[in-house]
Amino acid sequence: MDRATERDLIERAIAGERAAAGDLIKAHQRSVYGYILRMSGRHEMAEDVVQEAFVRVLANLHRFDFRFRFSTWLFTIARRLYMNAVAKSKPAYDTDFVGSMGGKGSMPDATTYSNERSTTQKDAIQSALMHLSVEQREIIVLFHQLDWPIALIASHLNMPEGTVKSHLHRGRRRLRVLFKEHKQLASLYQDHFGGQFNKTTDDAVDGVLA
Amino acid sequence: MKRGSNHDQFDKEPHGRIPESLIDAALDGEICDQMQDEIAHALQYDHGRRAELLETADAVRALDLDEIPMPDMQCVVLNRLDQHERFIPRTMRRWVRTGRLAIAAGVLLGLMMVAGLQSMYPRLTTLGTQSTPVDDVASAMAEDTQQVATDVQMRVEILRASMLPLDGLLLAPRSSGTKSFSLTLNHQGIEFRGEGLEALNASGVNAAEFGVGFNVSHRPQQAGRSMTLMSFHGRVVGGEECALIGSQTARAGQTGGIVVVQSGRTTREVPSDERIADLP
Repeated sequence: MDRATERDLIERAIAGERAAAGDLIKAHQRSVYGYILRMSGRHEMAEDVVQEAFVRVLANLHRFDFRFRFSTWLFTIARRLYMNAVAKSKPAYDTDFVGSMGGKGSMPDATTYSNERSTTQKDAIQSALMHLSVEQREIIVLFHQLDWPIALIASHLNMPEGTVKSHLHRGRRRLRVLFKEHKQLASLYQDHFGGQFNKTTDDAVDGVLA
Repeated sequence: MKRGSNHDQFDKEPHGRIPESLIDAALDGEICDQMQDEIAHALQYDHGRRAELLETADAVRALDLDEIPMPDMQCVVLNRLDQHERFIPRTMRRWVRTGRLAIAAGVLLGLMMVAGLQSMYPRLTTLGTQSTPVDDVASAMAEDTQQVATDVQMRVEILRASMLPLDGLLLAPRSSGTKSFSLTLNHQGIEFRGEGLEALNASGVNAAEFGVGFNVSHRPQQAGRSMTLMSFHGRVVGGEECALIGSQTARAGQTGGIVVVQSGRTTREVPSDERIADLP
């Protein structure tokens, strides 16, 4: 969405036009939802955070400064809400509960393996991402998933560009190794239950560099 | 991903590998097209780096959002905003704005009317005081205080009147050796009215009349005089006026006595004090 269109939608939404607000949501919900989902690894949290972010942004739309991008404002609020949600939902480990979930001597059946295989294929990248540091994960998502430039990421995270690059390079190397491990794990399921992963061909090298 | 600067040199590591920093720069989109071609060509001979790059590309591609199932939040968000009454149709907004202005104008007009009435009829717009339990208590306390003050003032006046003759006695030196008055309380009756009172005063015993009786005080100025008649109070006994004299001696060992005098004669005498007659 270009800036003129975005400005028009915002002004109409401020004037009380419901459809314009709906268009703004439609234009940005996928990117902000993907961002929070990759950060948290949990659909429920991502949905709650993104909904709340949209409500807050649209309820305060009259305060929007047109010098900035709407997406930057939305992502900043979503990120803050996510940080607050993480701080509130830190796990409290219950040893009794964990003990009560102990094995009963039966092995998982084929259906369980099948479901697990499917989940593993989908979530291999998410699992790998969750093993990165928060900064690495966030910067990789913003750069590679949302195509934000380094300068914008640095501004969004309030850190120098050099630091952003450092996190990006380290995180990318680590993500490569972790993702490879998850793929190898998934290939075990592939051997037993069939199915296949998307394999990157030599042509992808040109795609990545381009 | 062509974002950045131009790398002029294509440095290889000593053992023939492409520098990792160069791959990072390429992935960051910070190298020019020519350099990209050179890297792509060099990767044909650097199998290790090429494999790493393919794995990285694999991971980056897996980040694609298209794989993510996503709920449509448009309705939910808009419904939540409607609960905040954020979105109002334009026609309704005009009415809402008009209504708000009308309410504000009404409030302002009302305040102005109250202010005008206040200036013209202050009593009309001023609330009167109402009786409250606290007010009742306060008024009762004020009355009680007034009563106590009156009583105290009366007692002070009585005390002052009783002390007045004593002050005169103290100031005026009494002539020694003159027995102008003989008070034999234990055997004689004393007329305290009229001449008797004058005689009593003349003898140095100051007596003042107030109320229904007298207050008699005497303090001898000379050493050796033992009697101090401290008080005299009138009292009605048996329907007739009588006097009750209480006395106190100044010296240790001397006791006081009480004499009841009625109509100028002693009708009853408490014989507890023989020395009471030892007046000069």
